[in-house]
Amino acid sequence: MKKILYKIGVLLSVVPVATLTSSCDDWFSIMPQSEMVADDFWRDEQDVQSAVGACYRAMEEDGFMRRLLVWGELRSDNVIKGFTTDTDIDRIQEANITSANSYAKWGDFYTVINYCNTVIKNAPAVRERDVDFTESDLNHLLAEVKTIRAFCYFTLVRTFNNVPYIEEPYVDDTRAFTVAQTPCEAVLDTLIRDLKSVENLAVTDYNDRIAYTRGRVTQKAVWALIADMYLWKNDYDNCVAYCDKVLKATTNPLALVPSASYFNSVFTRGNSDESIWELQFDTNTRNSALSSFYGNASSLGLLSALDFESLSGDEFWGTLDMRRIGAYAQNGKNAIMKYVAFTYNTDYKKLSFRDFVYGSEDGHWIIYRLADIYLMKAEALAEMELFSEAVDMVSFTYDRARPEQEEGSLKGLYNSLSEVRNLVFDERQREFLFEGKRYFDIVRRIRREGNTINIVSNYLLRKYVAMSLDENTIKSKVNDPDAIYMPIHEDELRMNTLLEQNRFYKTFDNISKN
Amino acid sequence: MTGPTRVSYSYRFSRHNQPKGVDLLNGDDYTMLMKQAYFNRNQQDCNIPEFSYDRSQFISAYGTAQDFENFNNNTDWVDGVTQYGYTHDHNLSVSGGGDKAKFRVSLGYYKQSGTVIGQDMKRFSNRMNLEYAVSSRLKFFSELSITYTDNDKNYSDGSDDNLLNIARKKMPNLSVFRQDRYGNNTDVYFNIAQNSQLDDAQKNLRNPIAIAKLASYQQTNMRIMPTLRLQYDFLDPASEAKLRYSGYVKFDSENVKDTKFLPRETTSKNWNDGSVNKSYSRESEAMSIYTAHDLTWSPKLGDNHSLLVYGKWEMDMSNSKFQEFERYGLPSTVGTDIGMDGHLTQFNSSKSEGRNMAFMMQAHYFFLNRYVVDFTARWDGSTRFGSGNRWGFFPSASVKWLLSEEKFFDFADDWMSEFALRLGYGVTGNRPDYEYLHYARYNSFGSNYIDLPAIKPSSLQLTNLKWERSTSYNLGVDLSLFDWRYRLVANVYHRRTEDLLFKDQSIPSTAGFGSISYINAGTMDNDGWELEFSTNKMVQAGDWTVDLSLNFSNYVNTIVKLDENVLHNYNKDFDRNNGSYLTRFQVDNSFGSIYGFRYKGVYQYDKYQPDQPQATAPIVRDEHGNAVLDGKGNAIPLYYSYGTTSEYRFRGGDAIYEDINHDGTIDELDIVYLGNSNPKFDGGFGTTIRWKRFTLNAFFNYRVGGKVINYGRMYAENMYNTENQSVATNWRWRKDGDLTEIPRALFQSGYNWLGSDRFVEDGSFLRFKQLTLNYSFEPKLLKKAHLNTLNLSLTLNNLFTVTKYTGADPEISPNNVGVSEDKNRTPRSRYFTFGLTIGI
Repeated sequence: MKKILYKIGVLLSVVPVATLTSSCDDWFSIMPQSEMVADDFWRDEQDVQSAVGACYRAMEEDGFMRRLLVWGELRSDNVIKGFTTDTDIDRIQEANITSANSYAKWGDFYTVINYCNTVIKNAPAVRERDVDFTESDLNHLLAEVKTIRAFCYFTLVRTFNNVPYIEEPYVDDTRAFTVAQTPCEAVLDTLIRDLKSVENLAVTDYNDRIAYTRGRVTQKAVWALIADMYLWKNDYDNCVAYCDKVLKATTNPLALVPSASYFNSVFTRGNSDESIWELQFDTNTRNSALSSFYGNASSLGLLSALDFESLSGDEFWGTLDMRRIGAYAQNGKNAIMKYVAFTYNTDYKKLSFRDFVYGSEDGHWIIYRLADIYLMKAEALAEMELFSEAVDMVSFTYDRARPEQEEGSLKGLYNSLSEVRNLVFDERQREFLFEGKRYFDIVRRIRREGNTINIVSNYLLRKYVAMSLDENTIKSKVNDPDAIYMPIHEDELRMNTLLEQNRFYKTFDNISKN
Repeated sequence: MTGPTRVSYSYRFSRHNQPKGVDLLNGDDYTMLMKQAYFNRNQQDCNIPEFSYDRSQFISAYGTAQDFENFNNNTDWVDGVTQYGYTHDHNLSVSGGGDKAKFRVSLGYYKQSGTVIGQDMKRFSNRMNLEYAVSSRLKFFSELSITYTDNDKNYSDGSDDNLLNIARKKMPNLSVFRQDRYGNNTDVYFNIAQNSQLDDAQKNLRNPIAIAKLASYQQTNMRIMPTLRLQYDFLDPASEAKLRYSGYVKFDSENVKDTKFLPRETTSKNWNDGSVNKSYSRESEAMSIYTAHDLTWSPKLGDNHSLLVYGKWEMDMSNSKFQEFERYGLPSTVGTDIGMDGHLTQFNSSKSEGRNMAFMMQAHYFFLNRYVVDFTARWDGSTRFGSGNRWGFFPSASVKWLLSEEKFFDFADDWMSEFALRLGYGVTGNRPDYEYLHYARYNSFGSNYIDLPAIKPSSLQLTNLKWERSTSYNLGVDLSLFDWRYRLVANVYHRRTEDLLFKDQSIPSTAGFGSISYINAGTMDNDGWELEFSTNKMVQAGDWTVDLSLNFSNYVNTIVKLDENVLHNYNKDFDRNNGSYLTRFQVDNSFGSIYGFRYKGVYQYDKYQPDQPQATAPIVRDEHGNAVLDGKGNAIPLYYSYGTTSEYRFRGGDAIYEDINHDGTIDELDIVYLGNSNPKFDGGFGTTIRWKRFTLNAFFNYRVGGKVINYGRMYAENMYNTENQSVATNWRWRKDGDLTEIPRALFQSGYNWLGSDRFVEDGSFLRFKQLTLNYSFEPKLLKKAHLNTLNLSLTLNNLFTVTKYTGADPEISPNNVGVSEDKNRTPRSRYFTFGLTIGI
């Protein structure tokens, strides 16, 4: 018996037990072969630059670009239904937005925000590993990434009003994913404070590299974004102050492109003298969202332009407005030409759809340009009741666009608050047609006025009437100060019980069932 | 294997037949259905020339009637795409050897043509085994297996349907070949022109016969598996005690190459479209190494007890890589290689590796001829987990008590051969499907921003992913009577799985990632029982022997605990669309329940018929069935989802859904419990009959209870799109007063196929699965022909199925939420196999 027990003991010690497993740990540590591991990343400046590149590149993803267009352009009175159809897009066009609409999803924006947060958290540590990575290099990159993050949050806040604000990146599964919303004003204050801390650290000019100067965040882009945020908060003095910073900048000053080459220089070729920040697309990374919304060589777009001529005759566009020429052309409906097609024909008054040629989906998407600064300043000055200065600002873009009219033709004609407001409002519409800004202008005015009556009946309603929808039904869906925002998607509400749906979109479906 | 060298050759021949399934409409009935479907939706005549049989409509729509003859046929696509499938399986093996060395070599050739045209497979396999006894204690084994498969499959593009499903959807009035103006077939396959007014789904449905004949998808697979094994006896093999070492190393190398080509003639799209002259190539290599070493020890103990102790260490390493390319726009259909000039659309490559190690110890103790105790302990480690959770400990233990050997059962020794009780406990583990989950990984976008490379975090790091553990308890009874003639085995088990691994769960997108690849989500119980009865020479009369076998089993799955996120993922709200059923994951309830509407037939009339109380019309009725009238005395129309964006007013000919809460609208509050997919029990039974040298084997399997959602019938009766439908739609509602069970045809409109009990059917069935007849010739007869053995066999499979289920095949297993969904459109194939074995 003893012999047997002894033999069992020997057997057990021959067969290795858990103590040996710890030395096998090295054998188990295999690394992924087509990807990098966090420990191997964040080693030198090149890694940080690649991570910053990912933040920009993520803004060019289809989901992100589509939402910039839907949230900023689709609901405005610039566009009506086009040539092709898409269920969710059509529902938005009919003012039939529900929380099931896929364009109520905000995931693409939070992906970019998470990439930015990852850089902000990890980049400072890289300075210890890479001696050549200087403090100022780090600050340049941090400024870029903070601005991208601020731009994403600013767009979310303009669209949804109250959104979750997150600064800590999500790396693993240990932190709770559910975050409650922060009110709009608090988010804006945090963003402005954040941007002000980096406004003097951002790059002012990339010298020879035009693509970097226009395509990456520079100091002027930071100022432009701060000015836009102040305008949204109705803080007019600060808005004017920041607009002036851009206008009076001495390094790499901006200038409006002359009218003759306006369209092709600003929109077709891109990176023009008046551009502050535009997303750079090329043949490898195409702007497919834009081409499906506005049209391309294989199919016409989901959207078409409102027929301004039939609604307001010569009042809106005058006899010749360069912005009208390149923006849209008649083809049954008004096919949108800006960004996607171009023409070299200079016989402006006789241009038709056949004169345009569709490009190859690589038009850059402009986020801010000089005209925006002029008109933001004009809007702020108007609200401060400095009417003649406001009209002067408007004249910059107005005169550039109307080569046949005298310079200064606007002066002296607009003397009351409502007249100047409407002038700036219309000028912004003419200048930024199809650039993803009109709907945010409308929301800003409705927030300022406190009710929707004026804007809806004078501006928004004509879009729905042009699509032959019933006025009263539309008014019931649009005439509510909460309806100007988008609903939060139902999947998000289900996943994150701390979120609260916009009051206007609350339905019985939101009561949770077991 | 000792003795003279033996040569054996066997040949098996099978013929497969693909049954048709539900009958589909022919061209004439189909075009009538489509015209009504369009008219019912738009209330104006359908102007699509392809349904009209009218040359003038073609001319007014397209300017020419050149395609007129292509749309006036009655094509049976399913017939054109199916054929009899044949299989030839040859195998030659030689074995022999002496005391020192034994060998076995075999060569096989397998050739199969499928039941769908364009499917051909050839496989060559070769096995060589050698066993060499170096001494009485040391033995050496070597095995080599090489298999080469060359498979010509039907072309499919990832998201494409298979050819049989395409054939069932394709419009039957279309012709296979382009027809000239007299209606004669040319030799060019016909594709619908891009400017046709037909709906995109039908227009872009490929010509399945053209795809089978012209497009190619070839897959070659070469697998080589050499194994080296060693066995050494420490103690004299003749003695009673045993201490043996055995170990092996096995390599497994598999190379797969896929090549696909889609030529121009299979599509009518523009020459620069992405689907013209498209070539695809994928090459993958995988290499794995397995090794295991074990020690078996069995000491010499007395008569009353015996012990066996076993210890093993095993390890495997595997790595694999693949690369794939896709190009379109190749210049011709003759040069189809991926290297030809064309636009590159896909270019991916990836590498991966994984490692696992395990230690195991096992002991078996048998004493007093009636008590058996088994114990196993296993430690498994895998690279798929982080270092904190890498190792899992999985023990198991069981006891078996042979009551029949006990003294108090001695009275039964005559008739009871064995009566044993078994009690067992065991833990097993499960790993996730992917490697590297416990790292925070970064990868590249693939394209730059300006010239900045773009590298982003690719996924959330799973820090705490652990082994999924299943603990099971088992109680069993073995009873054998009358000299092992009758045997009964019964088992009852309870299995609790903890830290269930759920894949790809959605999380709030504010985290920056839309989903998390794996979480250990909760606990699930699986409880069941099995009963098995078999006989051995039950009836033996002269040359006849008859045996039976019968088994029953059943199980129930219950959720005990589940992570909130996962619950939210699965418990979605009703989406108000046609064809969706609700399911619910609820704690402490079994899952597999189906929820939907109650279907009550079809509205006979469009307007309320007060003088015909039996007539149905889409109006609001109260709980007594009386029509609710408004202030003016008119009936109130019934709506679907009143007040929402899906609001729809029911008309005559639409489906009647029961308004459970009598609130005047059909919406999610009218959804009720329709049944559960869990069967009462299932199992099989069979019999074996022997007479002289004939053997007959018959086997049946069955299931009682359990509901199946018949999506196949739903898609063939919904009359919602341009797919071909079943002939049942010829009995659809066409005008006021029709009394029928099939609603009216409505193109892309209406709610006539909501998830309701119309499509939830009882899945009980009895299937005659296999019948085998075997005859082996007398050795005496064969000696004259110098043969050793000669056997003939005939097997028939899937002979018939007795069931009330109207779908293709009731034997559907539940999906991941426990519901049985039948999305098949075609039944199982039936086949017979004839076999011949000759031994020299």
